[in-house]
Amino acid sequence: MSEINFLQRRRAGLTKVEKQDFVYRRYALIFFSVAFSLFVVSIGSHIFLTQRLKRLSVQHQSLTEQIANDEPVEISFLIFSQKLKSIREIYENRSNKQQAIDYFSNIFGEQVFLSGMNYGGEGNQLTLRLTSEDIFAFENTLNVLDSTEVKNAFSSVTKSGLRRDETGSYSLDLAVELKKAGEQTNANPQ
Amino acid sequence: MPILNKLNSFSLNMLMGPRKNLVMTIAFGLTGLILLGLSVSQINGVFALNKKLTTEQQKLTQLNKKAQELEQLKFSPEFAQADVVNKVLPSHKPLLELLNNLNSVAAETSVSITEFEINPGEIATDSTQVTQQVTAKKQSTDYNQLDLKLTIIGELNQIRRFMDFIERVSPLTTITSLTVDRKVEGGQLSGTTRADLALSTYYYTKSIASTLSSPLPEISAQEREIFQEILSFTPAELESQTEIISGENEDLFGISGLDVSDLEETLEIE
Repeated sequence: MSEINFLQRRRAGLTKVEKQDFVYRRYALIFFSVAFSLFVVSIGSHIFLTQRLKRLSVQHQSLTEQIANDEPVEISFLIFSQKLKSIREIYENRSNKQQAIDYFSNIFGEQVFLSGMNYGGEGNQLTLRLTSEDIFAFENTLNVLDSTEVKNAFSSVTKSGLRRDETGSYSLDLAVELKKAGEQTNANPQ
Repeated sequence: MPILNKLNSFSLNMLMGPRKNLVMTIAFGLTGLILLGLSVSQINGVFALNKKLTTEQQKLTQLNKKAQELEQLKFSPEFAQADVVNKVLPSHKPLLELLNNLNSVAAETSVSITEFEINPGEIATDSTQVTQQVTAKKQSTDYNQLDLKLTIIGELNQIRRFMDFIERVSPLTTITSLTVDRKVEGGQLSGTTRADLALSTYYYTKSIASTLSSPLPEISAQEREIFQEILSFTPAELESQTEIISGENEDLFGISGLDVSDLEETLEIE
């Protein structure tokens, strides 16, 4: 009696489906492995970074305390530096009037003397009155005033008001624009 | 019940037998999806943590730098002499110092101060505002100035020395205006010269604040030069009170215990 296998096609069909399922399982396993690895790495990174942040917080706390302990030093230094900046600002606005007065007192010789001076105002201007009995002494004075040394030392030097009084003395007014200490000069009057 | 168990076992075998790979695929897939979802949220957290860590690291670097600078400051030669700056630019209105300096410089240079005008404003508190128009001349809100006008008489050289010295005392004082008039008599200058001066003495008014992480300000080379220069300034030497003379209410003239003859003798001696 011959045997009839009614499930022969069924068996072949199932084997084909099983093979396909196996392939799917392999892909699913790969996907799972990747996801699991990612999960482990992310958890690990999270823990590592959290620990690092904790360590930084401890260091932060320690440094904060250290700086807080040095607060008097910091305040003193801040006051020191701010005041020094203000002093520099005041210094920059100062003009070299003493040097200018000394310069013009000595440069013209003994026959010409300084009989008056005026300093002040917004223009930082020094006005000097030079007096001499000898008109020829002024010739030398004018030459000195026109020299490059004077021009380099001062922003501008203006001569005006040459006059003679009843005693026979001559006088000349000199307006000198002073450079502020903050401005760079290439020649300092000595 | 055994029949039901048999049926369950049968159906499970039916399911797991031929399609067990499919079931595992679904299980792996679902678990993988869940893990992926969790990983995404973790990765977002990691990025946020990393950002926070970078910020914290930068803050820490700043704090570390500041802490080191503060440590080094204690040994800085400039900072050791920081008190000089407080004398040159005090935080109070330096009226007494200015008057003391005028007296000292006038005595040093042998000039006579003949006229004197000052408007100190409120002096009860530190750094109070000067009420006159002098405040209009302020160039900065960091400091204010106390203005003084005076007339001095002396020889021109003495006046020049006075001008030189007065700008080299602390508190910092600057000549803002100057008028010198010398009389010429018979072609010769008279011995004495009169000079009208306006002086400004500066004092610091700004309040200073700092935060924990703010860096320390740097001192420029120019400021270092100026600091070296102001070290040579003459400080105001205000005499401090060393003894207390108590007020005597009962013996105002100090004659307690003396009789008339003693008083007569005292008067004769004088």
